[in-house]
Amino acid sequence: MFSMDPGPTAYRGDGQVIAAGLSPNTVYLAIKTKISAKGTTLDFEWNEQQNAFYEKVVAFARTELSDDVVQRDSQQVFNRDLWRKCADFGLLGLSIPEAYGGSEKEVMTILRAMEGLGYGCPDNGLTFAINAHIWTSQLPIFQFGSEAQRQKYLPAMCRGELIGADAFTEPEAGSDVFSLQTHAKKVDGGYLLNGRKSYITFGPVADVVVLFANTAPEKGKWGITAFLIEKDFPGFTRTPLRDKMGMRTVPMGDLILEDCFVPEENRLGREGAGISISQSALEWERCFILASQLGAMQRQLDGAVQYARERRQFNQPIGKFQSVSNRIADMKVRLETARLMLYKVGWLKSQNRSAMMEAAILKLFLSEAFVESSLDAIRINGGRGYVSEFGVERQLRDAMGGVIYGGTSDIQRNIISRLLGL
Amino acid sequence: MTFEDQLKQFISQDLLNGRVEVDSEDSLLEDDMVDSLGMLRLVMHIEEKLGIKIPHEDLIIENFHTVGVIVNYLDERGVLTKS
Repeated sequence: MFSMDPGPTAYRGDGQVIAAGLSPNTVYLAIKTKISAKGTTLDFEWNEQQNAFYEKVVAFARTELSDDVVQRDSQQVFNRDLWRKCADFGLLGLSIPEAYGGSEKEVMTILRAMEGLGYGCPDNGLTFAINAHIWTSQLPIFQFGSEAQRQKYLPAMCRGELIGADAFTEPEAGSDVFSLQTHAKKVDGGYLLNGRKSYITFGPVADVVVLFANTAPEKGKWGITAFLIEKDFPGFTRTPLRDKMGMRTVPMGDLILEDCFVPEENRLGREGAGISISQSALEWERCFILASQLGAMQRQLDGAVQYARERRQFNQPIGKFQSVSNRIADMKVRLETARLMLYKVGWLKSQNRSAMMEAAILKLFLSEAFVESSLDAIRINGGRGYVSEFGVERQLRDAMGGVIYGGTSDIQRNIISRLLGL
Repeated sequence: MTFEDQLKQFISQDLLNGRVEVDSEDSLLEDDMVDSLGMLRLVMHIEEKLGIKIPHEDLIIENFHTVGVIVNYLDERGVLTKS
C-alpha cells in the first residue's frame, strides 16, 4: 500500500473517510476504503514526510527554477546553473543509495517529489532532462553496473558534475527500436563501436552515455549490449543542437561512433543484456517523467481556473460560460484519471511488481491527455494563450513530445493489445 | 502437468494464440517466434507461477532460447522445487 496525506478531509456518517485533498496541492480523490472481511486495504493517503517533501520540492522549483523560462525556451538554452541547483537540492540523487552519493528515497516519495517538480517548475524541458538523467542513465548504472562503474560515475552524477544520457534510437531504428545497426566488435581489451544514434536527449552535452550496440548480430536483438561511453573517447563525436518544437531548454542531438574504442570495463552488464537493461530503464522512466507531466497538468489547470475567474467578458467572468467551464471540467477529469493511473503504476513499482500493461496505459492516456488539456488551455486563454510570453502555448509544444518519446502512443496501443492476447 | 509442460502450453496458447505447438527444444527466439514483448510476458508468467523475481541481468538468450534451457536455468537456481 502506498500512503498520501489527504489535506482537507470529508467523512461519512460512520466516521469513514470518503474524500480529501480539495486543495490543488493535495490529492482530490483520497478515498480510504477498508475491506476488513478480506483484510485488504486500499489507502490513498500520503504520509506527513511525503507531503512535506512534496511541498519543499514545489517551493524550491518555484523559487529557483522558474526565471526566464520564456527566454530560455525561445533561445533553446540549457542552463547548467539550474542543473547544479537541482543537484545541490538533492533531486539528482533521489534514487541512488548514500554510498554512491545519493539519498535513496522510496519509490512513492520520489514519484510525489517528481510530481511536485512538474507542478512548481514551468520549465518542462528541465524536468524532462532530470528524469532522463536519473532513470535512463543513473539507475541502469546502479542496477547493472560493476562496483567500479558505480563508484566512478554515480557520485559525480548525483552532484551534477556529470550529465548522463542514454542512446538507443537510430536513424533506422525508431519505434522498431531493437533493429538497431550500431555494432560493437570485440577487440583486445575492449570493443570497437561504429554507428549513429539519433534524437538523443542531452546528446550534445552529456558526459557519459548509456549506449546500446549489437555485439552479436547473428543473435538479432538478443545480441544487444549496453556500454558506458565517455565524451572524450576517441572516435566519439556529436552533432550540434537540433532545432525542435518543444522541450527546447534541453539539448538534443546525434551521436556518431567511428571506430570508437570502448574498454572492456565500460561494458554495462553482460553481453546480450541490452534488451532487459533498456526495458527496465524505460519502465522506470515512463512512470516518473509522467509524474512531472502530471504536476504540469495540475499547474496548467490552476492557471486556467484562475484566468477563467479573473477574465471578464459580457460583464461576467468567462468561467460562467459553459463553453469555458466545460473545458475546464474536462481538464480536471483528465488530470484525476491520469493521477489514479500514475499512482497505481508507482505502487506496482514500489512493490517490485511488473507494471508493463499499466505503464503502457498510463503513458498513452497521460501524454495524450496533456496534449488535449493544453489545447483546451489555449482556447480558454484566447489571444493570451496564443502568444509566447505567457507560457500557455509552450505547454502544448512541450506536451507533444510526450506522445513520441519513450514509445509513441501507437506503440503503447500495440503493447496493450498484445498483452490482451491479440 | 510438469512446469515444463505448463510453459509449453502458455507459449503455445497465450503467446502464439494456439497457432504453433511448442517442443522443449524449439528455438523461441529464432525468426521472432516469441518477440521481445512476448519474452517479457513469458518472464512475468514464470515469476507469477513460481513466486520469484528473475534478475534483469539474467534475461539473455543463453538462458531463454528454448523451453528446455529455461527449465534448466530455473532448476539451477533451485526454484522449480517450489512449483
